[in-house]
Amino acid sequence: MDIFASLALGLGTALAPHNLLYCFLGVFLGTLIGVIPGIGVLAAISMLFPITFHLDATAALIMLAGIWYGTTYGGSTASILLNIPGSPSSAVTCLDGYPMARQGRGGVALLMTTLASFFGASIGIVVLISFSPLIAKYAIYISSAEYFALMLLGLVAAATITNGSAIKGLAMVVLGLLLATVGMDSQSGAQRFTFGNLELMDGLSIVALAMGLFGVAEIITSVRRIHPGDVDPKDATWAAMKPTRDDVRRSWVPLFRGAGIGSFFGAMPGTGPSLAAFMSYAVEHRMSRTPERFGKGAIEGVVGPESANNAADQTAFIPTLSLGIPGSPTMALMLGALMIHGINPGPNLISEQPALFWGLIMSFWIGNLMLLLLNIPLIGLWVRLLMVPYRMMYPAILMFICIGAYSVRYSPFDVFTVLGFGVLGYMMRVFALPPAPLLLGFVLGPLVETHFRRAMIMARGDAMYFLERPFTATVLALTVTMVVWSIWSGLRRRAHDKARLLDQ
Amino acid sequence: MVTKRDYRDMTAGALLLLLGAAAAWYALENYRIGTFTRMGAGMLPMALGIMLAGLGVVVLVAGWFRKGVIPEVRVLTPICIFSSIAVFGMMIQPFGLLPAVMASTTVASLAEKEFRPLRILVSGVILSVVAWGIFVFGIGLSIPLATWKL
Repeated sequence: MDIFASLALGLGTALAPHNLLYCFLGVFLGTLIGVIPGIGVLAAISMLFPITFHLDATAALIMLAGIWYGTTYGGSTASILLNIPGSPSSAVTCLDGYPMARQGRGGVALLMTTLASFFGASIGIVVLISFSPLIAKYAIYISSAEYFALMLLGLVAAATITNGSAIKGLAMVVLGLLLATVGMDSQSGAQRFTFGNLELMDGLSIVALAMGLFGVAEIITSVRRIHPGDVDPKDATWAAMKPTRDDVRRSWVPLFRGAGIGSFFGAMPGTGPSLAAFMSYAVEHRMSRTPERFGKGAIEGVVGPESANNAADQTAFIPTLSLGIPGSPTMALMLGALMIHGINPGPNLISEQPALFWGLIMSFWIGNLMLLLLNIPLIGLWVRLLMVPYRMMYPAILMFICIGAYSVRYSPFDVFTVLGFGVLGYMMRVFALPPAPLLLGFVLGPLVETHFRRAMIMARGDAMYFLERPFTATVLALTVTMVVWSIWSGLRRRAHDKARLLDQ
Repeated sequence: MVTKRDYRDMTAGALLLLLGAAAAWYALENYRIGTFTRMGAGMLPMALGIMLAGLGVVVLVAGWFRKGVIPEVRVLTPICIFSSIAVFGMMIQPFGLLPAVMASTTVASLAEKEFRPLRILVSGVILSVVAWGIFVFGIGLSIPLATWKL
């Protein structure tokens, strides 16, 4: 199928009235959640996950994806006006966006971030359209050994490229893989870790895991901590949004650079929008002829990262849709949604489900267009939302989580599973153990195990099989390098910290 | 509070070690391990358990050689939030949607450390209506609004 026929098919699917409706719902809820501090994108997606069970696969994915890139738009609003990042990827926007708001240029910052977000996302979508089918075409020929190696790379990347300790990240990946073994073994039919409980036969529910680990744990840490801020409603008027000619002139180049950086980092395993935004900020700072303006309201420091994180939001779908290997926990949830609807993710997805694949991609464009149209007139509404106190919000979030978990199978057991993971999630926060690698391990667990066992059968039990295949050997070498590098840099950092302590 | 050793990481490491060892032992005792060519159901869980225990040891040992900070542990908030979920789980089937939402909202609100019965009542009623609107009317779930099945 040539590209235009594909795009037309996608456009047709995305413009179907009920897909359009769920796209709108997704981006609307996404922006809403992105604006409100104290609910992250993962918590939001897991909260709304059960609702999508009652939709068909295409609509479900369109809506979940809309929530994902919608939060990035919303996140920047809270960053600029309150200096509180609504989502992690917009933390960078605080650096120069908040100073702009303090100088009375908040309106300009809001408008420019919206435009930059749209621009970055559009570039990301073009990259996604050009590369996904290409990668999928070659990926059809790869076998279990290669799959296993790629997934291992993805998991290790996610575990080691985090802010905290790489060892803890790896431990959480392993715990996730271990939790994924609960239930019936797909190959021998044996019950594993079910302890005679019939409800555990199908395994632990990904919905319950995500809601407990992210939603419940987040509520506990946010209650009585988040207070509505003082927002100047004057920032959100039309007149305050008009950028000067100087703003426009300064923004062009960072827009393109940000989109390029974002597209690259979005597609890489373990990185994603936050890292892309930070990189873009660093690059703009370094390239600028007036670096002293950064941190004091430089428009380049706002549009570059915003363009980057939105481009990354889109290109993150490349490995997820063309290989079936998610690079981030959010993408893992998307994959989970596909699997729940009985669709096997992998290189065959594009040829087997062309309407879903192209429909989803075209919905990104429509969704981003909606966000552009929605955000500029609705900024006033989002600003008012920032003033709702958290004590009104968290019982509602909790109620959504409970009903959502219950509604999947009408089973109180699932509600108690959420409770169990909530306890685990809070303990992990106390011990500074990162939850994201656990989720990734949990989603990829069954796939990793199947491919590993299949590869070992083909290899007749000889582990050298993996090293004899050039592609697999390269990927495994890369994985080992990543582990070694992260341990080394961890040690170096500790030596550095020690030296600093001694200085004092 | 800064301590001589990183007790937070040491505890985390010890817990991971225990969990990994327990999983590995349980898999070894109860499931077929098999050979590398034809792996049994227990092979992977056992291997993962051993890996988890190993990583736990690394976290534990690294904590021993490092200064640490005792993290703040909230007590009241988690109790309220967890109880709220438990109350919902226990009430949803015997009593239906409205009583379960009312009760869990009330328990959750206690995490605010102040008891305002009227405010809790109002927000409970609003949330029940919203829940009914979205889940029962909107999505068409068949959850009874109120019932008595004891």
